[in-house]
This record gives sequence, C-alpha cells and structure tokens, in this order.
Amino acid sequence: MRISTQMLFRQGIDGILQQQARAAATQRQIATGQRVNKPSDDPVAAARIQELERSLAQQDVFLTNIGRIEQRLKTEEAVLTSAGELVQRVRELAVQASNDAIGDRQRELIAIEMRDRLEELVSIGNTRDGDGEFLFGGAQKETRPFELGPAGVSYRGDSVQRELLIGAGTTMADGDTGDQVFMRIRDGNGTVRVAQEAGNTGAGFIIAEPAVNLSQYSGESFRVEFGANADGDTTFRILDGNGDPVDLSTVQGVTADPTEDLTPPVLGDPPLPATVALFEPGQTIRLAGIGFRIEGAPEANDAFVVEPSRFESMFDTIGQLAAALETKPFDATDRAGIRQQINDALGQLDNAETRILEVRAGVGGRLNTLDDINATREEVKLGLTELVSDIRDLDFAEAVSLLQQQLFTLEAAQQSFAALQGNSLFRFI
Amino acid sequence: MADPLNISISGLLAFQRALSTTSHNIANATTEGFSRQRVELGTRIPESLGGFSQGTGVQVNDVRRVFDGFLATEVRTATTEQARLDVFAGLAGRVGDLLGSRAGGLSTGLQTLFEGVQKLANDPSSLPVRQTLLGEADTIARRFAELDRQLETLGRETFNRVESSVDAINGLARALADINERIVRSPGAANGQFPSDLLDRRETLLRELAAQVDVRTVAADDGSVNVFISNGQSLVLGQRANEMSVSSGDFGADELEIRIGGVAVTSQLGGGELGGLLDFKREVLDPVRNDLGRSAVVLADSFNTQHRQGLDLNGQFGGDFFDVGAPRVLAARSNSGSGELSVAVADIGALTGNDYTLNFDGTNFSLIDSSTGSAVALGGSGTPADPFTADGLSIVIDDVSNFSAGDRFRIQPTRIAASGLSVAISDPAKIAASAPMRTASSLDNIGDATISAGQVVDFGDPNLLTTSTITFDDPPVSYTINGGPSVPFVSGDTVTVNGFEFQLEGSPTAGDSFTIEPNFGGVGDNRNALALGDLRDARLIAGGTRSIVEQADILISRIGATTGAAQAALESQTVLLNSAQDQLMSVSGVNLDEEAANLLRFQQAFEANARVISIVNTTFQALLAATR
Repeated sequence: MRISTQMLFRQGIDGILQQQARAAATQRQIATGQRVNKPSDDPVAAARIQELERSLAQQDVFLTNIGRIEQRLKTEEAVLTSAGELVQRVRELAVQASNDAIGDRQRELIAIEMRDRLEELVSIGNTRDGDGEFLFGGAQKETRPFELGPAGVSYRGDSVQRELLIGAGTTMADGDTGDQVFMRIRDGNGTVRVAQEAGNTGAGFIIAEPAVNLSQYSGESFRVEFGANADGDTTFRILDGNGDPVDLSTVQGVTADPTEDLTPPVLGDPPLPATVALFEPGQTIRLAGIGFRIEGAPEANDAFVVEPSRFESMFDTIGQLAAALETKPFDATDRAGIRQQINDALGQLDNAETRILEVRAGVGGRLNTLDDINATREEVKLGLTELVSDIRDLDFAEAVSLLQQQLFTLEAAQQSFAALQGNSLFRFI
Repeated sequence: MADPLNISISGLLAFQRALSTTSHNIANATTEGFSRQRVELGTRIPESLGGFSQGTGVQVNDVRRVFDGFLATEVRTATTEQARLDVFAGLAGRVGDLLGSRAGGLSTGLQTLFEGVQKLANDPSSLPVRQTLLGEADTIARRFAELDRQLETLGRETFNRVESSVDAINGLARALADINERIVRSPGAANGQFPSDLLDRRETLLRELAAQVDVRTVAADDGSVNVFISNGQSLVLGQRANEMSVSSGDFGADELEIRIGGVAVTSQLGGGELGGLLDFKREVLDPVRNDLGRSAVVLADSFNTQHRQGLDLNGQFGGDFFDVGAPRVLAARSNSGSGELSVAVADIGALTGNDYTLNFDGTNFSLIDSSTGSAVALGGSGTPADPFTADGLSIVIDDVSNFSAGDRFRIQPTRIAASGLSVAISDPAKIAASAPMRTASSLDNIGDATISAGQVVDFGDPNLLTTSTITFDDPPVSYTINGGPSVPFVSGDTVTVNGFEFQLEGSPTAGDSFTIEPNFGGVGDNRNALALGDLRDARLIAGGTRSIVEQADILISRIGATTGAAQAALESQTVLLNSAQDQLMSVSGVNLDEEAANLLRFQQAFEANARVISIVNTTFQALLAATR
C-alpha cells in the first residue's frame, strides 16, 4: 500500500496520543486507588457498585439497630435483676412473718419494710432509659406507667411492644411492656386460686396443688363446704359452679362418709351417689384436672372456694400481704386467716419471681440471638466490602506493571516517530 | 516543423510544468483535503513526412488530480457515524456521571433517607431524630430537583448545540453552492476539465457537512454536486442552498422541529453531530428525565400514602410528607378547540416512563404512546366521575364540546415531577411514626384469650378513632361490641370494628373484655415508621417488580449500558474512519519522498532537454563556421 507523508505523520501521532491517554488513565487509577472513578469508566460495574454499597450501608443500619436493642435490653435486664432481688427479699419477709412464734410488733415492722419495698418496686417499674423514656410503659413513653394510689397500683401504659428492624424483613422487640412484666401474673397456681370464705370459724386453710391437667379443667369454680356427721367426724361436700354437690366417684383422694343416707327417694332405684366425704387434714383432693389440700382444723359451716385464677399484679401481692400483716389477730381463726393470706402471698411471690425470671430469660435469649445476628451481619458486611473492593478497587501490582508497559510503548512510539520523520529523501539532495 | 529545438523546448516546457506540479504537491503536503496532482505527458501529434512520420516532442495532456470518489464517500459515511457516536457517547457519559455520582446520585440519597426513617423507628419520640429525618428528606428532594435541573441544563445545551450545528450546516450549504458555481463557471468546465483544487475544497466541505449530518450527494453533469438529506429533501441544489431552520415544535419549546425550506425533517435527520444530539435527546435525556420523575412520583406517593396512615405526636393523622410535580399536559399549537385536560397519577405501579399523545378525531379520544408509537387502550369515559385510565394515569376532559377534530395533547406524566419534589411538612412533631390504633386485654380478664395488634383497613371510617370495648357474654360463646348485639365467637376469626381489623384468639371466660382505642400518647410506638422503612424494599414500580432503590440502580445501569455500547461503537467506528481515511490518503495523499524522487527525475529530464538545445546550438554553430 502506498503511504502518504500525512498518513505516516497522523498514524505516528495517533499512536503516541493513544498511548499517552492509556498511561494517563492508568495513572489516575493508581492515584485514586480505584479502577472505577466515575460511572462512565465502567458503566456496568458502576451500577453494581452502587447496589453493593447500598447493601453495605443497610448492614450498618441493621448493626446500629441491633446496638440500640442490645443497649435497651441490657438496661431492662439490670432493672429486672433488681426487681427479682426485691421480690426475693419480700419473700424472705413473708416467710419470717409466717412463723407463728413472732409477735404483733415484729409483724408490724415487717409490714413497714414491705410497704417500703412496694414503693421501691413502683419506682423500679417507673425506671427511665438513657433517653429519658419510661422503660415499662409500652408506647406511652412519656406517661409514668405505675401510680401508687389508695386503691393500689394502677397501670397507665399500654400493651404496644416496639419492634426494630434487625435484618431484611426481620424485627425484634426492644423491650417488654409493664403490664406483661408486673401486672398480668396469674394468682393461685396459675390455673386456679383458692381462698377461705369470710366468716370461717375454724383454723383451716386451703392450698392449691401446683400440678393441673389443663385438658380436663374447663374454668369451673368449686366450693368446699364443711359439716359434721352423727359420729362427730368433720365432713365436707364439694359444690360445683351451680351449687350442686359433686359426685364423689369423680373425685380422687377422698373417703366417702359411711353415715350418709344414700337411699333413693323411689324404692328400687339405684342408690344415690355419695357426696359427703370424711375430712382428713392435708389430704390431696383432685377433681376436674385440678387439685388442692386443706390443712388445719376447719369447723362445720366453714367454706373454701376454688376458682379460675385471675391476674394479680406484684404490687397488689405485696400490698395485700402488708395489709394482712398490719391486722392484729384476735384468735386462732384470725391467725388462720393471716396464715392463709401469707400462704397465698408466698405462692403469688413465687409466680412473680417466675415471671421476672421468664422475662429475663426472654431478654437473655434475645441478646444471644442478637449476638449471633451481629456476627452474621459483620460477616455479610465483610463479604460485601470485599465484593465492592473487587469490583471498584485497583490491583496495584497489576496497574503499576501495566503503567510501566504503557510508558515503554509510549517511548517506543515517540522514538520510532522521530526516526521515521527524520528519514527523508530531501536530506540527501 | 519538427526541428530538434522545438522538440526540446516542448520538453523544457513540459518538465517545467511537471516541476511546478511537484512543487505544488510539496507545498500542499499538509493541506487538509488536498489530493496530489500528476502531470500526464503525451507525445505531440507527429509530423507526416511522406512515407513516415516524425515525432514532434512532448506535451502536457492533463494535470490530473489523483482521487477515488468511492473511497471519499466511504470516508464521509464513516465520518457521519463517528461524529454521531462521539457526541452521543460524550453526552450519555455525562448523564451517567451525573446520576451515578456518589455525592449527588440518587442511590446514596435514598439510602440516607431510609436510614433517617430507621432512626425514627428506633427513637420515635425524639424531636432531634425527627428533625434529622426532615433534613434528610429535604436533601433527597433537593437532590432529585438538582439532578432534574442539571438534566434540563443538559437539554438546553443540547438545544444550543443543535442550533449551532444547524448554523454550521447552513454555512457549509452556502459554501457548497458557491463552490459549485465557481466550478461550473471555470474555464475548462465545458470540456469536463474542472479545477482540481476547487474539487478538493468541495470535498473538504462535504466531509465537514457529513460530520454535522448524514447527507447523500449526487454529481451533476455540469460539475456541480447536489446534496440531499436522507429523505431526499435537498440541501444544496446546484448553485442554490436551501435554508435549514430550528423552531420549537407543535407542543412547545421542549420539542425541536428542524425544517428545510419549510418542510419538517426532524424525524429524518440522522448521523453527524446533529443526529447524535437528536438521538441523545430522544433516547437518553427525555427517558432519563421521565424515569427520574417516575422515581420521584413513586417516592412521594408511597411515602404520602403510608404517612397518612399513621398518627403524629399530636395524635393527628399524618398529612402529605412530600409534594411532587404533577403530570404536564401540553396542548398542540395547532389545536382549534379550547378543551383542556387534567391528568393525575392514579396507580404508581402501572406508571411507565413514557410520554403520550391524546388525539381527538371529532367523536373519540385515542391515546398513543409517543415513545413507542403504539396505541394505548383507554378505560373510562373521561368524566370526573369516570376518568379515562391508561398506564396508571387518570385523564379528565373538561367538556367534549370544547374539543375540535384533530386536537392533540402531549401528556408527560413524570417529566417535571422530580423538579417539583419537596418536603411538605416542616414541624417535626407532624411526622406520623405511630400506628393509629392500639389494642389491649383487660387486666381483670380470667380467660387466656388474646387480641392481636390489628390494622386499619378503612381510613375513611368516620368513627375510626373511637374507643370500643368487646365484652364476652355468659357463656363465652359470643361477645358484644360496645353493648351491641351478640356476635358468635370463633377463635382466630377476624373482627372489624369502625374500619379497624383484629383477631381474638384463645378461650375467653364470661365477662372478659378487650379494648381497641386510638393510640393517643403512644409516642414510643414506631409501627408506622417501620412501615415507612419497609417502602425501601417494597416493589412498587413497573407493576410490582422493582423497589424505589432498585429503580435508581436500573436507571444507572440502563444509561450505563447505553453509554457503554456507544463508547464501544465509537471506538470501532473510529478505527473504521481511520482506515477509510488511510485508504483515501493512500491514493490521494502526498508522499514527500516520492515527490523528491519526481523532483530529481523531472530536473534530470529538464536538464537533458536543455542539453539538447545546447547541442542543437553547437551543431548550428558548426554549420555556420563551415559556411564562413
């Protein structure tokens, strides 16, 4: 092919310019340390980098949120620990007070400490977190959740639990509401509660058995009514919710009163079912999936009730116990009454302690989960960072050797250009 | 008479001409568009001397321009495409850099906004956090507006460059007409002898024209060249140039109309800088502005919808969080009716990034997607009660009788939406972070039935924000709502009260009660903030296939792919152009070594002829001396 001088010149210059541009691009990459400095450098990679950087930023959001939850749960855990210790102390006081040997004065002192503890528990319930918000008020963060009034402690928060985002589409509660922690505690054994009726004259008290069979218990109430038979033995009947006596064949752990007249009203009919049982202190009576014991010496016409348990707050438990201890017993009946209340309260304090332990276990479980998630998030973040780096960042060794090669080529292009341009026939004529 | 003196003189003259031509070549070795010239020598007509003929010397037949028309056409074609790609790739790259910049791009801005929402969800009652969110919302709104403003500036720049390109085309067309005239009137024109240097000059002008726009040339017998743009509209016809002009189109300044001698040719123009500019506006700038606007509409609309469903710190329902630019309607200047349209976005999921044209044929309205040219089915009847619906838009026409047949309207649903994006609230307490309702079970309940957190299903219910109590009857197989009639209870069933929906589950006891109440004072509740945060990944765009942030990625990757393809094509086109230029130069270009050799050759020939004259002279002197 014929070569024109201008073509030779243009090709030489083009070559030099191209090499210069390449070397400059490599130099810019080395100066910034990045392969892609602006989207037009590598449009496809730029879009991918953008997406990855956003995912990376989102991991930071999750990590921040996880940090927030951890901080709040740790505050809650500390508060729950002091609430648990307080309930234990109250329990110790109740055990002291249940000792028949102590006198009225001592009981009074115990009652005074108990009142103090109650106020302390209220202030624990009203703890504020680091942001000045009430920890246990649900979403009512600016309303003091527990107020001690003449009628006891009322809850003024709500049941709204706050969830924070800890992963794509995954949330976790950053606390527990006050009603759940302090208020909604089932009394009795959690299924039924027992009590002696007002006006009992004997010194008997009733205790609910902890074991229940929930599939058999359908929320019925029972009343245990005491009497005496012709032999002078103490007997009792169990009345169901409608006031009808319960057939003893459906009750376990009782001995039927042999003196009861089971003759049917119509001759020839089968005998009537036995309903009157002989009383034996401490015997466990089981029916309809629940069980209870009656201890001490109940008298005829005394009565005890067994009914579905209700919510009782920790505050009420302590308050009622203090009130019971503040009464001065006049006789054995009064003492049995106090004994019953202390027993009930001990059971209920166990429930309160269990609740606090449950909530603490829940908090601890969440903290463990957060640790795991935290580790996972950090790993994901590391992976994403590496990925972004792979796409965006420069391989320096490669870039530096590339630059050297480009500069070498540039120099060669320049030298060959100069040589070609200097080589003209005109020089020889 | 064929005497040696005359023959030598013819040689002297011929080689003088050859030396002149060579020196002309050397002088123009670097002149752009110059084609080397060659002296064509031939023998003079021989003298007949009876039985034989005697040569009479040499003559210059022609000073020929070494040129290949096909190669020149190839160079022009390559130039046109290279110039188009150069402009297109450059501008598209600028759009990509604008949208993808880390500091000013959408992706980081959207991420920061949603981080602000997360901070709100973490501390819904904190006023500083709320203020931060407002600040971040303002930043993203300004970023949208700023990006749109820069794209608009780029649009104006494109318009200006179109104007200057058209000016350049007109200048070149006039110069071509002028040079045509000079060629036709040149002395040798009648014999088909055209001045080489003028032909070169014209070829250079044609190449410059090709760099502006794609043209076809047809050579006429009289030596002139006629220049047409692609559809056959003539730009230069012989010695006359037709004026090309730019004006705003039927729908206003946003759409350019280029005419030649009154005939609209915009859609036929391609190639060159002008073609590149028009392609850029049509394929990149307008769609990107529409897409950016669509993202703004989706952000504003989804945020507003969710925000209106929450309660603010004052216990009021949230209002609009963002304001956004409404769809733009442009009536054609040629419309004879006075009818007007109002267009609103009805469904962000169905919204496209396209523009539309609404046509009225005297009885019916029809909608054309201007970007694809295909018809779009219209639902509804166009009345306020039953608006036309198409592609997520609702179109209301004021009165059919105000429209005339042939009326046309351009609808740009999202073109100016981004520039109109702004934060609608300024009071941080008015950010609605909490859910409007809360549920609770009574502390006196005996049974273990629970009530779910519930959700609002009808925000229009006038009694939504009222407290209701659900109390179980004895036996607890039914319940009453606010003391009303008994409703049978089925555990887990959904109950709806005053537009609020929830589930009661478990086994209640007679007398158990549950309340649903307005969430006043629930400053720690973040449920609506969480719902706002979920919008980050909610697939709301393009029929539920993309989220807002994914749309930002797609915007970048689409423009990136376009730019990348244009850059690659530009590179290969440049190679193609260089090779075509090399081919042409290989034929027409001056090689100085060759000219140096010719110089020697012609000098030697000249010297030889001069020597012949000297010998003839010596011979003549010898003859004179003999006769003396």
